[in-house]
Amino acid sequence: MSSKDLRAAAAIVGFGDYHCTADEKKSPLHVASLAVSAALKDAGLEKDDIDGVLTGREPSGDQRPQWQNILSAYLKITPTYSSQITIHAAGMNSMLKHAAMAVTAGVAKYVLCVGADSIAYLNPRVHVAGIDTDPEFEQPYEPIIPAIYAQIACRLMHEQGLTEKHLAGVAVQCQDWGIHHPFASKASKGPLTIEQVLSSRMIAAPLRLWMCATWGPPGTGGAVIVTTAENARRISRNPIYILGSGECVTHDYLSDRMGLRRSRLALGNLPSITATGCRIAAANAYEMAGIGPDDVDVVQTPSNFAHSELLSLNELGFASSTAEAGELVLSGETGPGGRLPTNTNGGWLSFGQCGPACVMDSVMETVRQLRQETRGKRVERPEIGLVHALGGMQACHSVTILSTST
Amino acid sequence: MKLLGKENTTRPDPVARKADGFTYPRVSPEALPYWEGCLQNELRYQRCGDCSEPVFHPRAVCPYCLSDNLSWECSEGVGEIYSFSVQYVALYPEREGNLPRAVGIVALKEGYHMFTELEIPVGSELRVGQKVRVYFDRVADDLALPKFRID
Repeated sequence: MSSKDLRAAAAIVGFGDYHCTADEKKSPLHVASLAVSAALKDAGLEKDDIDGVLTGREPSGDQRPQWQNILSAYLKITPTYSSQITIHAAGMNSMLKHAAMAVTAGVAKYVLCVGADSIAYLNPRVHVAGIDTDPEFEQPYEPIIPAIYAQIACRLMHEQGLTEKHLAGVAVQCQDWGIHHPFASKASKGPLTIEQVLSSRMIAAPLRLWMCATWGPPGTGGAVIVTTAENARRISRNPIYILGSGECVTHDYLSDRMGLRRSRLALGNLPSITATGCRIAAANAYEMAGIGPDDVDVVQTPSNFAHSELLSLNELGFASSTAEAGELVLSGETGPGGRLPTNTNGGWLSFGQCGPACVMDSVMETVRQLRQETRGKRVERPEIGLVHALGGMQACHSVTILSTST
Repeated sequence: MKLLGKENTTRPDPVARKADGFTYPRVSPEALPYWEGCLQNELRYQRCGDCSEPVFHPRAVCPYCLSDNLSWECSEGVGEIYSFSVQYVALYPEREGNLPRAVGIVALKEGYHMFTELEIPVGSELRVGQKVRVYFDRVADDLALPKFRID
């Protein structure tokens, strides 16, 4: 048995999502409930059809652990297969793999996968730094998260010739998509130029304001229902097949990554912070799906900071360095009308990051593109969509490949 | 001995604690000799007696060979800048007077890396690869933070 046996063996038969408007305050359980309700309706299923429940990491706006249980009890769902899937936020993407494993093994028939958050009630700057930086060896120096991510950008500039203009290009590309999406946090700021990005204020050099994701929308919830491909063909007109999935975890806190001096995995010259687990996760996902980068029609990557998208494009196989990825972005190929539409809802940079649920936004945008039901700009009939999700400080990577056909 | 804001430092503290003007680190028992060393102007790290690897952050067992034959050594405190960022936003708004500050990763001569604060030189810029040397910033009676400046 290999992961290839899972290829197209399971499918999404229902999806639902909910985004809060700028001045709308709803709890994570509230937005999750609205997403679940919409997903059940879309699938034509009843609540009692659900026998599996997975959620990602607990929302930053409701930090109770074992949140899958909190949600199930809130909705009076009584699953016989249930867990929280968390490799930081990236676990939300991996929920699809776990659901596929469960339904193909016969452990569950319909697995509900939910990711939600609401950040209307917290101070994300302090909250996230408290989770994602080392409490003993980093926090006494009081870094903000951009200053942690900037360590990677600094090294990429040193090692790969990445430039500020490349970083600015990502912000412009994300905004080019985001201005078309009614819930993108930065949409109201309108079209953007490289010059505007490069004159925005410095946050943590080399990262300027426009190169950092914003916190928003204030609430976001996404839900999908996964069942076997066989059952999906029976009950759904437009199932979205799970073709491939891979994940890789290399560390937790960024500076501790420099203690990883060797690995069984091909992570380049160790120790390093410039080669991530994305390449490994992608290789596993491509192998399971039996496809390569050239077959992908639409891509969602992390873009919490501008260089994250370039790291992804490089390690997903669309470029051979982050600088080359930067040139690809500047050429317009990843923007609207381009050959490799990337972060089509505006990405985390322009759509925003609503806590860990930003990963669910990437999943939902892919499903919406594949089903041609987008709220923002639509890509012309994509058949294969790739979601790369990132968790922590480039610590956890999950790649899922979805398709309209087997 | 009072260390890291606690009378009894053998009791683990799962989180870092914000204090007046600085942040106490989380107290982990494995790392107490490191923090005690800082108060004595010594930059300590562990070395594995079996595989010879330098070990930092402090561990109960060597993360490379899983031996518990670890002993403490004293670093010369010199190395070079691996990466850095100049931070223009404070984690806590009341600390904005301390900006800009540089934080970075230093590669120590003994073969390990650590996150730290870097003193911004007057009239020049920080660069990857620059030689730096440790100094100990006594932020409180019971806490000294190792920081680095251009050597």
